[in-house]
Amino acid sequence: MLFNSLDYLVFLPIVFILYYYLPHRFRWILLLLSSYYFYMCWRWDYLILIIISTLVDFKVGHLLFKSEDSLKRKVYLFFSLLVNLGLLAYFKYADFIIGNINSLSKELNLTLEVDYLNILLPVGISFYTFQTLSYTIDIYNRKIEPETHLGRFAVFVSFFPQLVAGPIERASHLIPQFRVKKGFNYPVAVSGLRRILWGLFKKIVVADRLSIIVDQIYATSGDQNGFALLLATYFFAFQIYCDFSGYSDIAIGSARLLNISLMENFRTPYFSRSISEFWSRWHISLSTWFRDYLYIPLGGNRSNRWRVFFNIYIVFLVSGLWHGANWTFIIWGGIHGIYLIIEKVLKLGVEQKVSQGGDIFRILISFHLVLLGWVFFRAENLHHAFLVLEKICRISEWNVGLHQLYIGDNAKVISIADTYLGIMAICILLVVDVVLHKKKFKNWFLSRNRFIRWTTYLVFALAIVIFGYHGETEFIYFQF
Amino acid sequence: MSVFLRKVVVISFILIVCLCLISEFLKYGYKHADDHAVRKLYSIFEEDLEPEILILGSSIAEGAINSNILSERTQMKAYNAALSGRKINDWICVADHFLSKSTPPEIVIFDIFPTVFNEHSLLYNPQDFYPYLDKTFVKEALKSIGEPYSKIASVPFYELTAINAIYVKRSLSSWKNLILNKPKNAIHKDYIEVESSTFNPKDFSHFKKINISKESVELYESLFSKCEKNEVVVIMIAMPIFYIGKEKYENWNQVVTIAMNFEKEFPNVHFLDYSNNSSFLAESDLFANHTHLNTKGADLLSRLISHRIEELFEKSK
Repeated sequence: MLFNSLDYLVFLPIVFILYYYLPHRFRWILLLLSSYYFYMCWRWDYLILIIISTLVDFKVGHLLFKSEDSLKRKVYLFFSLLVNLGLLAYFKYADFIIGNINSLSKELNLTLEVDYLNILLPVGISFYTFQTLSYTIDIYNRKIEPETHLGRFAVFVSFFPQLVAGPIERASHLIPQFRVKKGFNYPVAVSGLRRILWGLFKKIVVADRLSIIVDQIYATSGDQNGFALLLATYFFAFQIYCDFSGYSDIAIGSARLLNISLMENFRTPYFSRSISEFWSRWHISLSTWFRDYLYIPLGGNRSNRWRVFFNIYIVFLVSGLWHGANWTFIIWGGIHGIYLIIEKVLKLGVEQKVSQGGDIFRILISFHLVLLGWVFFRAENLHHAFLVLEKICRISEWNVGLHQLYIGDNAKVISIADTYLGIMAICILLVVDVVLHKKKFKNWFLSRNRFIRWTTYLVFALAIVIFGYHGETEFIYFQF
Repeated sequence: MSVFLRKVVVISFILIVCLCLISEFLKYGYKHADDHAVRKLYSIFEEDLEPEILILGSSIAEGAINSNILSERTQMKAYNAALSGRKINDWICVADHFLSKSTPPEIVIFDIFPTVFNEHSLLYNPQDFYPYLDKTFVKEALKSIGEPYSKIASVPFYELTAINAIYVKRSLSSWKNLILNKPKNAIHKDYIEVESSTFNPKDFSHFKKINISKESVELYESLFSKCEKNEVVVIMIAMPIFYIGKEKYENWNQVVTIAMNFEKEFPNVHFLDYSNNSSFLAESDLFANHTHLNTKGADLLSRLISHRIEELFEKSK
């Protein structure tokens, strides 16, 4: 089930009403059934993977907690990692590995050719795998105690608002909220609805509208000039931000309706003044996961300079690989790793105070560095990415003008209206993002009378209907 | 919680009311646009027409069958509901509209021609049908056209979305005319009179190779079944073509075979082939262009069709 579907518009209010009318001791049953139903709307058979992950980590968690034997504890942890990462590797990376083996064998003139498995990637597997892993590792590190109630633990693994695309929650934050009896909280519920509305606007109006242009230009990159490709890359930067942060907003908003708080996943990342700041504001739940469960165990900042650089680089390569089974993602991760190492070498953290003009300059530089990475993220393969970059760099061959976005006979035509609507949507996004993240603006809006607030909500809702691109398009991060 | 629910219901209600008002506003404007197709659709869906002979199809039928002559000669009320640039994908909803009436037509006539089966040809403004989306068969017909109209049946208020900018634009300009009280152009007629016959017989620019669409054939079959159920006689007509033009159609024989198969398969279906009729073949003064008759040609053809209708009904009696 997609957040931007009519089904969800019916599903969420039903869950919401039942949730508050049920006694607390039965709520976990409702949340579990609704979460499983939510997932089964996509594919019922892949639910078994979630159930396996749930049972394994529930049991391993208890064994880890009870055992004092260091070796046994290591074996239990290894078993959990093996099952979770094994499933992830099989379903997500098997065909990628086979493809690389076949390419290598071709290069070496060997006759070896392995057949592809053509496995359908289970939606959200990377997200719930990392979530359950964090639970097991936290128990191993004696940071938390295991959950005693299997049902509640199953809800933690499969909680529908964040099941398929995060935020990747921590057990210490989410499970206690299922234990405590929570009544209806009016301000929290209202803020939840506001988040859902804003998330839908970002997804349906900004991301999906921009995707019309980005998809068509990237699909015909061979016939496009550098300006069109550059514009499409700018649009993609906002498309992916709105697609993913829109999902997170709807997830956070939906959870808030049930008086459950999920962690923030984005904080206006394109206003970052450095790449390290960008990573503290972009997909925060994943960045902090990698920090806590990979970077710090590798030694973090506590080692010598070269080891720190190595740790950073490994984290970003793995992060790239987490995003998808394609070299483009690994290169994307690698590029960000290099950026961070350079920042460390040049000591370009955000701590240094500079003038406002300097800040704007740094924001622009950081944004364009991120933009370079997005070319690899969006491209079909490395050849495609280099073709796009090569064309963008040939400035003398640019045909500047929005009319250049028209595509020939065989492809769908991008209308000028689509382009203008896309640009307009980005402008609204930037303004609202600033308003939402500056407390004084937010408080000013919330203190306005009901007429102004409701009119604003209605305008956004009408904009979603009128300017949205409808038809239940999937969220980009579902493929990860 | 009840306060919260009440407010959610109120704001949702206001939103739906706003959308309905915008929808009705645009619908009213579009329905009254000064455009031949829009005005004809208004007559079809809003006026209480109960023709005994219904003519459907594209511009070929619209300009070639004079409903007045047909009415006069057969003593049956005829209405030409054919529309320029249309294929069965959208005019099937017009057929459904008339067939769903308490007194459906006795005879349905339409033109059959290679382009009506063309899977790649574009339809003219399917948005002309948007004011009548409250009718299920209009939604179904638009859905069958394909992207982006397929969403019309599943997305509420889809007609208001930016993808339908032409609908919004034409509706607003119609409102402007209504407010400024601008008079509409010429009196609306169901049959279009084309006086011209000064066409270039050597201009074959619109004779392109056509791929016969399976979906179109299936839509025709479903229409015949509906007509059979309502005891409606169907007459398919291969319209006269100026002789040089006919040779240019690579699919002509294929289309005739399809029509003959329809005739064999459905007892209520008759196929009249005027494409080889000697009265028309080389008479350039009867044509507006290779495929469209002018007024003179239409008068002659309408008389011939009336005669055949009389014959058919005589036979059935």
